[in-house]
Amino acid sequence: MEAVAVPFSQNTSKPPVNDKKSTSSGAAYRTHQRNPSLDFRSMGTILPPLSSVTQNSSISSKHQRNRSLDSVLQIIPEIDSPTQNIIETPLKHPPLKPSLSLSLEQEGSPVFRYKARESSCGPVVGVPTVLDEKIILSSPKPAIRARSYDQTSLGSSDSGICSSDGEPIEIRARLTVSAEYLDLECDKPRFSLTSFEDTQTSETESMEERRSDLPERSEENGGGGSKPSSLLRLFECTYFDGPMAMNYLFKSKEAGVLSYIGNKLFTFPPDEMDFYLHQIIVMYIHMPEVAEVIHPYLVLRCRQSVEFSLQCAWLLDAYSPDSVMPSKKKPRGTKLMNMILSDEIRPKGSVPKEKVIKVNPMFLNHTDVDESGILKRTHKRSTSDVTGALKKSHKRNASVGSTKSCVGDLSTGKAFDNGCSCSDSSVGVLTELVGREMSCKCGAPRLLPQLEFMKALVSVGKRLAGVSTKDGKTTRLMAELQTLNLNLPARVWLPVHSAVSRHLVIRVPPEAAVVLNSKDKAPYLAYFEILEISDPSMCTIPVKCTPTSLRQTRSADNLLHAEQSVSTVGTGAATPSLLDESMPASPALHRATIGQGNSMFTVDDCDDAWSQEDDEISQMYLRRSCSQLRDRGDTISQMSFESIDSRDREPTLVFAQDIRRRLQESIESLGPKGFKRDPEDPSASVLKVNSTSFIFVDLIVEKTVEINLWFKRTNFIFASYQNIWVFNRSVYHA
Amino acid sequence: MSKRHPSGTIKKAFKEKVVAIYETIFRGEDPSAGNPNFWDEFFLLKPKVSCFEVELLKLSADQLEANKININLLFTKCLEMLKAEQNIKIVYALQTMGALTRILYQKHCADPNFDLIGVLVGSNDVDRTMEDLIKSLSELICADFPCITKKLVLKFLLVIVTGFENISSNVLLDHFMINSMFDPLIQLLSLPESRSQFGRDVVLLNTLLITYKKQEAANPYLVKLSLVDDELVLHGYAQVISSGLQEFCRKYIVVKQQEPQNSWLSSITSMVGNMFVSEEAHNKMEKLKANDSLLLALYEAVHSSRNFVTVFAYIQPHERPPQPPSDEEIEADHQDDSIGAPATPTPTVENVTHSSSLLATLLEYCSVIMQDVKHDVSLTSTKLSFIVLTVVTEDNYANSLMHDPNLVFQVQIHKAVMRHRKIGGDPVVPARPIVSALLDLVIEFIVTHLLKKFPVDLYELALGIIVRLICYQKRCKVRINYQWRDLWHALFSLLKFLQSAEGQLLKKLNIFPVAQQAINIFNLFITYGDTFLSVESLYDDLYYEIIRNKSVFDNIYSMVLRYSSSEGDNKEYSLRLMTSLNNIRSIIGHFTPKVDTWLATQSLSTPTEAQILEVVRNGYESLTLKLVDNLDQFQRYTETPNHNAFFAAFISISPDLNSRGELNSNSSRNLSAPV
Repeated sequence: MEAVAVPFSQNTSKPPVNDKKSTSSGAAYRTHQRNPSLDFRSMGTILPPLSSVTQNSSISSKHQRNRSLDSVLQIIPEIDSPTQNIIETPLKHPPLKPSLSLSLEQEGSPVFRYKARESSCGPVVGVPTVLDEKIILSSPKPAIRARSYDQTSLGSSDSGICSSDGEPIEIRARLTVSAEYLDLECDKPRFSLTSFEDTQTSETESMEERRSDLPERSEENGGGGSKPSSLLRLFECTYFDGPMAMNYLFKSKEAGVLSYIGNKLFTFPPDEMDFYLHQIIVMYIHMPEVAEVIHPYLVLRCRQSVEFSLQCAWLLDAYSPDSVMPSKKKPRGTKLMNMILSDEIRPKGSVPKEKVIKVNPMFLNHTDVDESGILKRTHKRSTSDVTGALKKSHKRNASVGSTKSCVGDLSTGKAFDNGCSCSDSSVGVLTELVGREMSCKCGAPRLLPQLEFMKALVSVGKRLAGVSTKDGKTTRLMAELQTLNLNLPARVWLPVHSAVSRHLVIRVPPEAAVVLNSKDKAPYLAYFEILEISDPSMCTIPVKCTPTSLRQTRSADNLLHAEQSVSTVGTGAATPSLLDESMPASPALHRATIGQGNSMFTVDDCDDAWSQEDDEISQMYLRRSCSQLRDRGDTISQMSFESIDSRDREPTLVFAQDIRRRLQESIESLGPKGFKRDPEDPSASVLKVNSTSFIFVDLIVEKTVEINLWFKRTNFIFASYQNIWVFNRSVYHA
Repeated sequence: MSKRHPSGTIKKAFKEKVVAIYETIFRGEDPSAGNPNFWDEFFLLKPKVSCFEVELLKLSADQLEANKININLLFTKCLEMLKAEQNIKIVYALQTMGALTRILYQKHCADPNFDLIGVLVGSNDVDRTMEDLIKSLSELICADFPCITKKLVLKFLLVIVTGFENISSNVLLDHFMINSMFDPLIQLLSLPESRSQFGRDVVLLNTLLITYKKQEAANPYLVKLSLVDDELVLHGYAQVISSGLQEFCRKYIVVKQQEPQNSWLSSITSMVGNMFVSEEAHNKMEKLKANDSLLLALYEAVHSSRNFVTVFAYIQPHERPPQPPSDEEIEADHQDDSIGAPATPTPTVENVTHSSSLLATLLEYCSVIMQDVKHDVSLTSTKLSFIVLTVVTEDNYANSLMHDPNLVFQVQIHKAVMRHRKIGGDPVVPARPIVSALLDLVIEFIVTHLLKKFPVDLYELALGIIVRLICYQKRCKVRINYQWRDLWHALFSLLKFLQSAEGQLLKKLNIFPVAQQAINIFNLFITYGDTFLSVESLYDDLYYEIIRNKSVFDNIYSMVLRYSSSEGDNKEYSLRLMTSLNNIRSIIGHFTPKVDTWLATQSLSTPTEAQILEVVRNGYESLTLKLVDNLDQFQRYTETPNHNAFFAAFISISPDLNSRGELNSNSSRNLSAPV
């Protein structure tokens, strides 16, 4: 009971906000009026009844509520043919199946749905629209409710079913259209509801059913409610959020409730649902009835997000009971996992792999004229742009003589390259130059890079376990990470914290990695240099940035040398000057490309690097001007003739005592940092040192420790803070 | 056309059809007369390279000139065959072409007036033909051809490139500059399989091509090398060099282990038997030859490439070195190819037992080659590796790698057996940052090369490396955990040696700059010690050592006084050295009386180190030092004015690069391998 109180007490702060909002938006005002009332009830004293409702429902009044709710949910058949039989039939066998299949086919892809609706959007009024409405929504009421709350509530996403935020912009535009349309239509369902109510009351039905239905209706019209109706109202109100949904999903045995929540899941923000992924997956594996309900939701999310797919697959793998018995029928969880891993669940509209091979040459062939022909031509011109050229120069050449796929082979440098050619295509280059992001259209395996990346990281640990000495392990670890680096940057990320910061892994600095002192389970700790981006699956992979390109000033050096040698020796030093001309890629350009996607490149001591070199350059200039002033063209070392000069000049005096004191001070100031490196425990010094350094590093340490914990279980159970929360939650569920 | 005899009744030597055709060609007759498919058939016959060469060698230069048309024709047909579809034709054409080119080069070497290009390629349309040739060869390298073909292409290229004693006078190479083969060549390095097979050849070829007229004009290979930023290629390049050097070190260890561990006996025998070059030394020399090219390749990469430093710390998995496959292997290879099976298996990561980075390997290699103090060749190699280290220590990124406390390696610095040192085998070194190993290496060099034939340029380089390291540490406030005392002791012995051998040495060379460098290192410690020493007591130790070795400085000072007061070439140098000595002299002047009075008060004659240190610690006040200007500056390494001569000499004397004969015999053996 207290447990339920938690979310509610959190929600009590919300009503004022919502009130304001609802008053401001007049159109949605009426529908919203109910919410505060419910909320008032839930705020204090009426809480116990709510939970008692659930208890009761599970014990005694199962049938009633089920029916009532279901009948509410299944308006469509009723409107279509207002005979009672139709309501009756779904009740006999669980009503889930039909609605499920419906939602699978139609709600599965929001794009199609909205297209369908858009087509009917032209003639807004009239019978067709109503029909359309009926066909689309198996449960129109909640959906519309959700939509209308939407105008006011902050949390829920904008459509009943389409809960993604990764939709292309055009679809969003359509969404708003359909939203207006829904607002227009807002009254209609209500009307139909009331009419349905009338028919129900007029007809002679089993008393319980009616009893259960009638109060609900009346409650909806503003009257006081009994138990089941309040449950529905709870479901429909704004404050019914993810945590509560999870709770009911877990507790409720009612098929209707489950299917309702199953549909409702689409309305919750994905982030909120991701939090409960563990629970969802566990329920999916162990509770068949819940599984059926949430299956469409999972599939949709998997289609939308690579990351979600992977998390799902890993969790399914981790939580699935080991199938010791070789049963012919695979468990549901395994089936879904295999489906995800085999990349069957992918965004609709992306071309399967076979077609790509045919498409690719077309992309390359600039002569063919199709609808994107104009784009191609623009691109052709724009290759002269620096960014384009730079990218070209950095593209790895096709390997010599090998046409086979190198995915997974770390020595090729393309281990995490799924062969997606979208960004190679002219359209891809264009979008990149424009700065937009694009999703993969070519149908390359979506999950492969990330899977391979994880496999590589885990196998590094496994191989380390085989090395006997600590020193050997350290060296080996660095070697492994360097090999890994050859394949980065790629479209891979760390699966922990990906919700907090979306990123791509750019590099794994090997020198920062250490072998941990634990036995053989969690052998290493690594840092990752990441690039924060908006969406890992859409952005272009950043250009590789070699460590020296940030610091490199060699071309400048050469310039100076060249000038020097020209001025002093008199012969044109052809080689260095020529090198300068042919070294157009400046660090600044590198940085520009890296920083393209409003992002942060996390090289830890960037500033140091610059200042150092700047220092050097300025010194070189100093020397050069010096030598020119004195007109000394010989090859006497700079140092020595400077020290001749010091004879003439007044020498700067220093006190030996001061030097000694400064030495002592500076060493003392280092004090705690002077943690000696112990070959037996290489991680100790690193952990020690880093804990005192700045916050960013701390963050990474935190991350890596998690990863490291996470490696303990090759089954990919995430030991992030999520789990700790999750643990609490499960206590609360219990 | 030879007649077929029953095998038992051969009277005269059995003559194969191919050989007969060779004779026809070299007689100047048109071999294709009456047979339009002649050339297609000819290249289906297995060439007999040895016969071909013998026949060709028989002809004098004039005869060859006269027979120009046929030779041109042969060359052109070979070229055409490179585009053939059947691999066998390509292989045979490459073999024939290689043999032809090689012999003509030999002729040219014997008689510089011999018109090589005219005879080989023809006088008209040379440019186009060569362009065609280079294009075909590039395609053969890049495309999916069997290993044997690629190998032959590389061998053929080596024949061309090494045709002349002085690479810069090799006229054919001009065409290779115009039509660059850099990209196809270098791409072979990116994949492990092709790297292990062709890596050595590719790196050697590339290095040779880089050295072609690089002083005079822009060398496209050098330019391209400097721009390579494909990490895989750089990695491959480093890997080839490192595995070559590693192989050398491994062989050295094997040789050393086989040596009987007889300490004094061996030193006596070596004294006695030094007039003969021992078998072992000879053996080592042989191996040295094989690595100069790698060292030069490393130099070019480090010096010119902006990105090469990044791969320095790459830990190279200990692969099998890319040995040129023996003939049998080639044969096996080819049989495999003809069957259609893939080539040799790649070294798997699982096999990696010991790994090391290129830099660590280089240091170990250095420690081996510098042990040989008797041969100029090894001194040259040492100089080259010191130049590489100089360039490396100038690079900030490389320095940061070397100083990284987490990037540790076990670098074995091999030490020569010397009479004044205990021999106890090489102790097991702990893994530590590379900078420690580098300092050890330089110190080892300093104490072991105080020879009558004083290698002053090497010492300048060695001390320069130390200066660069200390400057980096000072600039970046890096405090490494190192026994600096070892360095001071080495410098003391160097100064002692210079002062004692001054009379002899100054006749031949100027020792003042070296002495000055050594003193300046002390000055760095004295005036900037606060920025890079890791423990405060080290500063006391420094003073202690200076006071203890005051006689060294006194002697140097008196030597300097002598030369500065007398007019001569050395006056300026000695005056400069005198200025540098200022601080050390004031330290000695400051502390000596203090120590003496302290000893007097304690009435001690033999104080302990701790006691003197205590005196030092309490006696800093009122000691003023002069800050020497630009002490922490050094002249950056430039190849152009100072080292041109060295590199020119290096290329011509370097046994590896100069070993045309060996290489050619190698290649010819490969070329003549039964295919």
